[in-house]
Amino acid sequence: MDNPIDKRVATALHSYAVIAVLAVLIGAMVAPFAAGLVSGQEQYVAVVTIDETISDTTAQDTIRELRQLRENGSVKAVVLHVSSPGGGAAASEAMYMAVKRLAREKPVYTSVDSLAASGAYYTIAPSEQIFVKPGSIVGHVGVIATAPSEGLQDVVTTGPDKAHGGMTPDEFRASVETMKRAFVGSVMAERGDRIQLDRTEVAKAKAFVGAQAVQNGYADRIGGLEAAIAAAAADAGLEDYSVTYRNPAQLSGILILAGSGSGGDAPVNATRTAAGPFDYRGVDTVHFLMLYGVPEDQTVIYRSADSEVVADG
Amino acid sequence: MADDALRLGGLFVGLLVLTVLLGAAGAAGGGGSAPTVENLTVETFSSPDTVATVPEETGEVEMDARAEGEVVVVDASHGADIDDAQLEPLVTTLTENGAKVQFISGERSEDFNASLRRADAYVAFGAQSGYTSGELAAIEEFADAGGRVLLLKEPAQSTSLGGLIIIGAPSGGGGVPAPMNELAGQFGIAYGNGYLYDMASYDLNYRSVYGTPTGGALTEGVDRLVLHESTPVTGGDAVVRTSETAELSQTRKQGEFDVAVRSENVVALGDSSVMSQDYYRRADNEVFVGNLLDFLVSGEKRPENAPQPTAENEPTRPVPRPPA
Repeated sequence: MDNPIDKRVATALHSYAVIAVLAVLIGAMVAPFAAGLVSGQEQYVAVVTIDETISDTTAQDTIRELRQLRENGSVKAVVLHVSSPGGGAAASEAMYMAVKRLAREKPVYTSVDSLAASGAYYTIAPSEQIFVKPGSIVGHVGVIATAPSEGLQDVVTTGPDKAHGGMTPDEFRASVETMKRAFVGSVMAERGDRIQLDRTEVAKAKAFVGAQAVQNGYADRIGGLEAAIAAAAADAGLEDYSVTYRNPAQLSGILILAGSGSGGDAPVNATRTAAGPFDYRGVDTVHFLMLYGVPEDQTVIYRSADSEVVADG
Repeated sequence: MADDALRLGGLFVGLLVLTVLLGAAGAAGGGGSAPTVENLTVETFSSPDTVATVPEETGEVEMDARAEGEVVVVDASHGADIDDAQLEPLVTTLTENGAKVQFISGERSEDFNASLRRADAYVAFGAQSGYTSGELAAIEEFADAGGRVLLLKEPAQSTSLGGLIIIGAPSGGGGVPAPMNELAGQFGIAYGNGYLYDMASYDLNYRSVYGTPTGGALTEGVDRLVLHESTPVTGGDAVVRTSETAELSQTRKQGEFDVAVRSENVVALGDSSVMSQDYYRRADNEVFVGNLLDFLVSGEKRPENAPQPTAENEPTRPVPRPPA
């Protein structure tokens, strides 16, 4: 013990801080093994928050979470806690498919706060039941295509469509129409037995407040998150359960907000960045959106339908 | 010393248990083995009916009437809403058939009236700045003298709200009669406000409605037209009408709307895209365009009965009103 190194080790072992760190580290290593024991005993209703504009990045985060919940045996039901204006078309379609896949295996219920519009409504369409507040806004089933406000510029290209987003105007219209048909068709398929409007009316892209939505079948019940959790638990046959809360896209949402005012300091690349939900840094491009509203500084070039909302034309 | 060791040991055990519990609870909720993935079939994604295809574009504009030596003037003044894509089928076909296409681009009323004196037909694409009373009188006299008049107007195309441009949004209005209505009104014709759409039957986009003929030479050989972003027209005799499932954006009223009418030597269309390069080969549009060009060169006006500008019909051009 006269060895100075041994003395330092002994002193360290008597430090509260070092002991605490060691305990946490060892605990973290052991935790996954304990989880198996826990999962065999506890039953959960998982609440997944979707409160962001849906982009490819946020969708990836949420879909990853839904995948884990789908596979986790102790999670018996899932409640989507939604307040979102929708977002990118492909990202919204991906969210829809992930929820649809989850709903085939476990009860999925949805509680809407302010908004579940356009792509967000697409996302929740496979839900067993949709709970809304009287002032929630749901629906708005449709697609818009936007272009940078400056327009796409002719440059030296290798083909006639290379300078114009890869499509002629008619092909843009056909693309929007195709996405609309898939969107409307999916909503009708998921809620066809409950929705009171026909396909043509749904395609008009009307948005409804919660009280109306319950009457016309866009939603099922007036109620809050607690009611949705209770209904999901009852559907799963749970009497004694815990609730676990997840916000999978929270980090990417914060990054998007933080990056939106950061100017052009970040390195240029063509990947989806934190500059905005639909931005590829350094690249102005066309976007197909399932969105309640229009991104700033974008020109709407085609819509699949009218909107009842003044600001959306 | 022993007490210290005991306290440290207690702390260690306490934190260890806490960490394990927290970690286990988290892992239980978010567990992570690779899931079994089965194919997810979304019928609406895979249905052949889901994919929209671009309609075939066929045919060329052909004229039957003798056009040799006829003069057609296109009004490029008055803030006309024209571009090369809109003019190309008209200019090319008339020129190929021997007619002369001239443009009015000056700002002076006397130039405008002088151009009319030399013309057999007058075409106005969506004027956005006002006509003087002298110009309006000259056009009326022109038509009375047998000159052919073709008026084409699109619905308001865009409204700027801050940095956002919304295509198809309602025009701003403002109580001032639109220039095209001042002109059309002389012939008992009026353009409506808003655009027509049809959610039940349309060409690629709900704003491209179908029009059907109501009879007459102007629609001979036409079964169906595609009218992209059109506005209703009232007055005169109906030439082309929408289906009953069409709706007007401003009122959401559903029903049949006239989109082309004729009043003797004047034809008014609530759509100019039917003549544009983008749409003139859609459905039977090219036949209709050919008939319209025949109409333009088939008038009875001759230079000797041309309207002469007078002192009282040469007032000062008004200050252009701001765009809607």
